Amino acid sequence: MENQDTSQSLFDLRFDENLKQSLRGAATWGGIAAIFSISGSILSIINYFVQRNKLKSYDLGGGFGEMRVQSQTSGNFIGVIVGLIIAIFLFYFLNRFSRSTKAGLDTNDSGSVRDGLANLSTYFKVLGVLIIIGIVFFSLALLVAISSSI
Amino acid sequence: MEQDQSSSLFEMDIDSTDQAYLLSVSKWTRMIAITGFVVCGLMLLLLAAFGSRIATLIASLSGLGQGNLAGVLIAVIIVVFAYAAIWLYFLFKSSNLLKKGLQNRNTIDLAEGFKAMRIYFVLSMIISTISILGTISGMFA
Repeated sequence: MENQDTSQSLFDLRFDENLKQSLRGAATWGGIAAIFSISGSILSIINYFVQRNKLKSYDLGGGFGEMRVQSQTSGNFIGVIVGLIIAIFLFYFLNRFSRSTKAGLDTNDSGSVRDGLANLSTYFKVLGVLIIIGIVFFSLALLVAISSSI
Repeated sequence: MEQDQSSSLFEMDIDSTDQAYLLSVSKWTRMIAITGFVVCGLMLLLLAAFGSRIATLIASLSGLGQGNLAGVLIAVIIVVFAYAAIWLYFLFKSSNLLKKGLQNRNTIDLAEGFKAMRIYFVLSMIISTISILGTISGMFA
């Protein structure tokens, strides 16, 4: 009996209780992290408008000061919007990982767990690609800064 | 024996598709963690090279004493880098354990990998909470 169990576990990978609990823990906290992350991004959008209103209320006296503030706020706005789009994208995959995996583990539905793992895989893929893009942009900016200072 | 059969009926297999997704998770988390470690290392090198200049510049801008400011800056930098290192370590650990679990067909390693990933998500949530608190305090400042 013992031999049979060992040989079976050598060739088959199964979601045992320990693995199910660990996966459920990761899915639960992944879902919570996703909600906190998207909340932070939404708050930064609100903060952008609050700060812009504060800037508007200052008396800039027109001229170059006003132009500089306008270009700064439009630059910040693009940054905030790009950040929000990325956050929504990441939230979608992480949230779907959390929901599908938990539902699959609760109902012993391997299809839902598979769907959850697919979303987790996509989440980290998107994150990885964004990091690569970020590094490329940063390197280009650094090169431009160095070449302009020479 | 009957008990074994009934338990196997309710147990789910980790089939080749699931394993492919897990392997993909392992590869990408490894890439992200290693990139994070390299970026942290480069930033530490830059700080070591230009740290004193940055401290002087900020001290002149803030009007604080240079000694006080340098102390505060060093403390903040140590906390931030230690936190980032722990955060990335758990992602790296998760990646390694998931890969090891798939290679050795060992569910204990897979479970440990997901436990490490859970800690990574908890630490991510704490970072988001700090960011939210910073944004709220900025709104009312």
